[in-house]
Amino acid sequence: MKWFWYASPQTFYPLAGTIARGCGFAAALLAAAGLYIGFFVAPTDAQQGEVYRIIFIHVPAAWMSMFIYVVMAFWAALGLALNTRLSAMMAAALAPTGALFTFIALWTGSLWGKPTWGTYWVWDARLTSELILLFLYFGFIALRAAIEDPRRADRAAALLAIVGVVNVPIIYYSVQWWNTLHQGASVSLTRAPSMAKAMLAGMIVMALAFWLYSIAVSLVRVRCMIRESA
Amino acid sequence: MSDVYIWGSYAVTFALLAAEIALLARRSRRAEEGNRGGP
Amino acid sequence: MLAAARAIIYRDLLVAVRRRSDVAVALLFFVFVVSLFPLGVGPEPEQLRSIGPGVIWVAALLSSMLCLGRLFEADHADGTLEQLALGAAPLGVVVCAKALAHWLVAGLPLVLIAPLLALQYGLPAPLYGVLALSLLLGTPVLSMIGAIGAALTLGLRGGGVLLALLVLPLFVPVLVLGAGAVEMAAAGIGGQGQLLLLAAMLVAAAALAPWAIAAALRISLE
Repeated sequence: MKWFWYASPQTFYPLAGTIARGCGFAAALLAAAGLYIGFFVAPTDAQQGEVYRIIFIHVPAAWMSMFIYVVMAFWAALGLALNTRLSAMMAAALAPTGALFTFIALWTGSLWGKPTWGTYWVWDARLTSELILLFLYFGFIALRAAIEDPRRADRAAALLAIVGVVNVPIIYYSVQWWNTLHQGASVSLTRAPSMAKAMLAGMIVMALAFWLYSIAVSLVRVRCMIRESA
Repeated sequence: MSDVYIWGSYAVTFALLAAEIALLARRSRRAEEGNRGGP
Repeated sequence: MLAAARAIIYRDLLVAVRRRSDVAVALLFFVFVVSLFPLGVGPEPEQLRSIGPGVIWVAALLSSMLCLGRLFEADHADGTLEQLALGAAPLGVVVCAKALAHWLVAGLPLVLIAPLLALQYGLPAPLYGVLALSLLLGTPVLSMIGAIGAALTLGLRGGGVLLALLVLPLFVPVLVLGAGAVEMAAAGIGGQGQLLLLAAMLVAAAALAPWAIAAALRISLE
């Protein structure tokens, strides 16, 4: 039952600090490794040349944007079910980082689209769902900010996150269906089935780096929230 | 030519991450001081 | 339980009939928005025919959203909502009844007038049925999802815009399916797939949304 021991903000505070420091260092190391692989080990792409290297940011950021939302919803649900303040704080701490990665995914996707598809924006199913995900994050953050009573804010935002997470697959599939039905020009991310091993390795290393970064940043943010609410 | 896009992507990404870290550091510092020097 | 539901529906409809302006506003807004688009994009018939389903659906979305604020506000202001929450009837039933009454006033009129607007856009007559059916299936889903947002933002300042931000992402699947059904029918492929999915969404929303709306109300009323 160690978990409930750490459910108290006071006991969680030092633990969070330790984990954050460790994850921060690891994230920096992995990012360095990932960038090295991305720029010096991975070969030039046959069709896209050098521009494809944006993939080492774009795909990990997109993965993080979705992963963080699910984790956020998990903490939100836990907070609603167990009525623990710290769980709700974790959810709130994750939101800004999640929104940031969503924006990064959109930004890098857009800059990748210009040289490859010829335009900064296309209503590609993935970009469109990513945009909607950004709005879901904004909604969560805005709802929390609009409610003054902290307890109501926690619980209302938690419910919103849960409703949102149920909808994310629905939104994704409906947009994908819409996109394939309307597809004029053939646009598809060149994720060739056989991706060079170095490319895949680079993506995974960067994804791990982003993941550890998210953990570190969220834990520091939770520490701030604990201090601010004391 | 395509270097612009690569630079634009990486630069903006790491700038945003750095900004997040910086803002968080400032918030952390304020939270620490607030509790020590507060009433 | 059914008696309570019937009573709430009857009362809400009575209020709506007495304040006829509320009903009219929803309908007029819908018609207005649909009529604005040709002024903006040009009256070329081919273009209008292609954007028609989408425009009508977006307008239905926006109109639906605008009416949501009214769903709980009045009852919240005079304390009726707390009474209903504490009362004997399960809050889920109460909420269903309110959502149904709301849809009868704000959603059904849109379904009925849509063929007229389709005429305005030059859509061929066989499409009227698909359009009306898609709206018939979709607008209740919008009402129910929107009610979750309305319950969460109860009493908050800046509520209207915040409500829009919360609820529009969740509306997207309904919009995509609804407009898609009409467009597929226009293309000759037939919109059965989308209509069936819309029906499935309606069933799912009817089953799950009342729980969420009731939970949201309890959170907001504490």
